[in-house]
Amino acid sequence: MTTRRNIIFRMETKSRAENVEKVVEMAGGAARTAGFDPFTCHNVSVAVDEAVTNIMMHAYKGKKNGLIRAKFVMEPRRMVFHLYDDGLKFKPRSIAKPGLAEQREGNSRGGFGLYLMKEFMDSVEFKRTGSGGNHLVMIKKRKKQKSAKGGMQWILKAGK
Amino acid sequence: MDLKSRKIGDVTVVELEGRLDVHVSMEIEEAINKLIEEGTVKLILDLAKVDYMSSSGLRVFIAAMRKLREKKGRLKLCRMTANVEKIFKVVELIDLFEIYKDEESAVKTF
Repeated sequence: MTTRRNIIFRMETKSRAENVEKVVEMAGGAARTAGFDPFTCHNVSVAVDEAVTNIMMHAYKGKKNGLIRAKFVMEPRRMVFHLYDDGLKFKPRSIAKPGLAEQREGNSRGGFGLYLMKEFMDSVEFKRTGSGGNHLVMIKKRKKQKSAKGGMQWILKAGK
Repeated sequence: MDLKSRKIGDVTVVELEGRLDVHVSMEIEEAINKLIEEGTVKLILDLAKVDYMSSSGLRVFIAAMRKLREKKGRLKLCRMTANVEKIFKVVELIDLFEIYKDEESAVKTF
């Protein structure tokens, strides 16, 4: 009998725009290691990009020395993306799709990041850490399928 | 992210290359604003070499479109990669922009 262990990817970085790519590359690498197809790897990368960008812009308000900790956990049935920061409390009122008319006529230019995170992940949850920071948890599930030998196996969910 | 611009008659074509994320979006927006301030009113953004874009890229395009409208100008996008097109489709902004498969079609329809 074999024991399945979770594989963990970790990174700590500062809240600087040039560091977003580093976290995103780790997310893409973790997704590829987990066997996600290229389409899903890209979606996961974008969701993590938006999350880190939100931390920089909203939790740290552009401050460049805020700490961002990333922990991505590959579990047998899902991939869990944790992001931690010590910035201002982030409490999204809703994750609604920004309206086309609002973008065309109004002054709003944002609101897409949260929406993309929700669309590209299976779940997005904002929590608070014990020390008063933010903890974002995003999950991408695997899909169960019958194997050719008749047993059950887990494959990575494509699309979305 | 590299940005190259050239003229085809009175149309300015800007080729973007690389990742379009929060790190470069401000710089790209400033470069596009400069072109508009210098008189560009017919602008095409060629996205054939943009292999990755976050919502920061969308904000750049929206800002450019609004600025051009103020000047009675028009923004067109062409040669989107699949990854970029996907972002537009997911947020349902495809209808907000004039999008063309190739540069020639974009130039002709000004």
